[in-house]
Amino acid sequence: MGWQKQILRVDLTNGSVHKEPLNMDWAQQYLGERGLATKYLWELMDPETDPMSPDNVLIFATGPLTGTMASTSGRYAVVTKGPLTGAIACSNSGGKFGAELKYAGYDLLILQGKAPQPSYLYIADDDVQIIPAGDLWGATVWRTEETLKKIHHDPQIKVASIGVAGEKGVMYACVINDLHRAAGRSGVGTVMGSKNLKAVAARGTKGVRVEDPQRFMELVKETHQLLKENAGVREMTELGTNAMIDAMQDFGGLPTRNFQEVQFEGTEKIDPAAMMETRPNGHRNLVTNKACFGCTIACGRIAHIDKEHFTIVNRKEYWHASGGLEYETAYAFGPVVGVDDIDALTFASFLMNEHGMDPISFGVTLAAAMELYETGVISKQDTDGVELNFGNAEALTVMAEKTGKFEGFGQVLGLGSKRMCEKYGHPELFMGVKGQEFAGYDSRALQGMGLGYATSNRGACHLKHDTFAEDMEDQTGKGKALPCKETQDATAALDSTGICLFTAGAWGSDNLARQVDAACEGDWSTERFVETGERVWTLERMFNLKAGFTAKDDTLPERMLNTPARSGTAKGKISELDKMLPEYYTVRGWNQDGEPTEQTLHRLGL
Amino acid sequence: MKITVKAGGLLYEYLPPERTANRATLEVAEAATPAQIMRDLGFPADASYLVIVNGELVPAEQRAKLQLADGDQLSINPPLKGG
Repeated sequence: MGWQKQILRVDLTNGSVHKEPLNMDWAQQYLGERGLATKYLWELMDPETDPMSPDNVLIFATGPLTGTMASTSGRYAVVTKGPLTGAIACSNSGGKFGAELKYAGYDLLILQGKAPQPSYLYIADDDVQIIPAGDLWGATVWRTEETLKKIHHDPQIKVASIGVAGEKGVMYACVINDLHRAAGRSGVGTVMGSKNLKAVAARGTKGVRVEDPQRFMELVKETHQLLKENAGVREMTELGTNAMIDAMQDFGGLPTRNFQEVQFEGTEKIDPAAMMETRPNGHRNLVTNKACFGCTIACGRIAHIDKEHFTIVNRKEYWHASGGLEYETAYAFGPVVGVDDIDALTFASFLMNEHGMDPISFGVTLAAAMELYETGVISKQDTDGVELNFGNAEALTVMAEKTGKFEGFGQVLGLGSKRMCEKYGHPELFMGVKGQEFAGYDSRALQGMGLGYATSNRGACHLKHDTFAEDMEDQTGKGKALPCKETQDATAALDSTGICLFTAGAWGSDNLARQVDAACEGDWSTERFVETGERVWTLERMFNLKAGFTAKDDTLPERMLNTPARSGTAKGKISELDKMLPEYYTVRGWNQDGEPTEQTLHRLGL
Repeated sequence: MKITVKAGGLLYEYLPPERTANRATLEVAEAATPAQIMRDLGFPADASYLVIVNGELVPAEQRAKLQLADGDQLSINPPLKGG
């Protein structure tokens, strides 16, 4: 058990809905969520498929621990071929939607085809309907969720939806659930929009059963305690993930002004202390913290904007509290665009949730546009009259709104940084990998991070490996390949459970494997659990190879490889990717063309 | 001699009460090392830290060897992690 052993397959083209048994052989090999969805994607579509065509497959996947008593068990993943990258996309989210979908009785929701008219999917246990979206097409994420709860007379419905950004084809549109939790990266919301699907509204009452309830609950108690005692977890609870910004500033790994610099002079205006400071007018940015389903960490920040701030002074619809700054949003609306106005950053964060966009990709794209503007490649004639200088808080918020509504220069920003930089003849200004923009860590200061970015199957990503410990101790390429590979595998396994990555500071793979073992059939040793992660990683790689990617795509921008960091602990350093990558391929059991060898594929049963 | 200590995240809790936000100026023994100062302030010995002196990274094995000088800036942060 753990699994519901049922999947829901919806063909949007002809309106058919099928409930099918979960393939338990695949569940035993790929576990759930990220892994199992990758296997279904591999079996159901040709990786060469145009990601915006009806033949792309969009999968919402829960894990065997989703919806259980395990801490942080609210996770679900959205897996598809990403339009931003052309690679496999796997974006996971918290909130409550994932558990609700599982409670409705489904491990996976598989969406194929394209609806003939804008529609939404309503799931209430066994009752599944494709319903015309009507006026909801064109609505914000926030209005969509509110409206669907009213239409169905049920405030307990959980909604995952897209905004106009996803409808119109912003290449990094998210799927947003529970108002401000996001399956954020690679344009999974763009795929949803291409299928004419506005939302999935789920209500479930079936619960989840586990194989050995007594042993499972003993492990739940033990692992809750591990989280409670962990200093890093306590910091996430009290300060949120944005606690990282001061450390990254000291370290000199904080990407600033489109990665031209690695330290930002304005961090103290946007860090957790600034969020918690009460101003002379009585305003305090941070309202409270918030937990997702079943979570005992509660890293989420709920914030509000000063009503006197220029962004909302006459806009009461933004006077409420909503999702506040996390590290990546603080970075993407702060240092990388040179802005230190915390209210502007918070407003931009609201807009990302309201319109359904990835803040990292938007911020880094805007940063590249600012560099194009400051170097004279584009002018006010291109930017709807907006002065697009680094540090311009008004430009940040105006462009966030234009992009969310797909208006004016926002349509250009909606292309993503790679396509936009190519459009203006400066591909070298794109800061990312495989078409996806970098997160808030510089590859010259954090060498292992650079390797992780270069080899991540969904394009540049900081959440698919964990070499922070190695990067803190040594700023060369030595000793990074093996921990990068091992943590990629462990993370792929974790992402296949339904558990949040933020448990990883307190739990090892052994803690996760024991919970999976108690919840599910089969003997889930730690070794088998981690090998499952390696199988998932390798299958993702196979998808990308078949989609046309090669070892040449496992690279970093010239700025990382040839332009030394200007300051910080890595002053004068460049990325040593050329040294790390061959070693990485070797420890993976791949040839030097980045292809898994027959022996490796055989060992993993692929 | 005097040095400036900045403690990131929740580590400011280990600074003396006269701290300003997450910074404090400390009077320490001549040639004190980061490890000595962290021990005297009560930082748990079994935890991991990111230690930087005057903008230079100090790996764990160097923290008991590096001798600080008057006016040095010591930055102690929790381990880096994603988010």
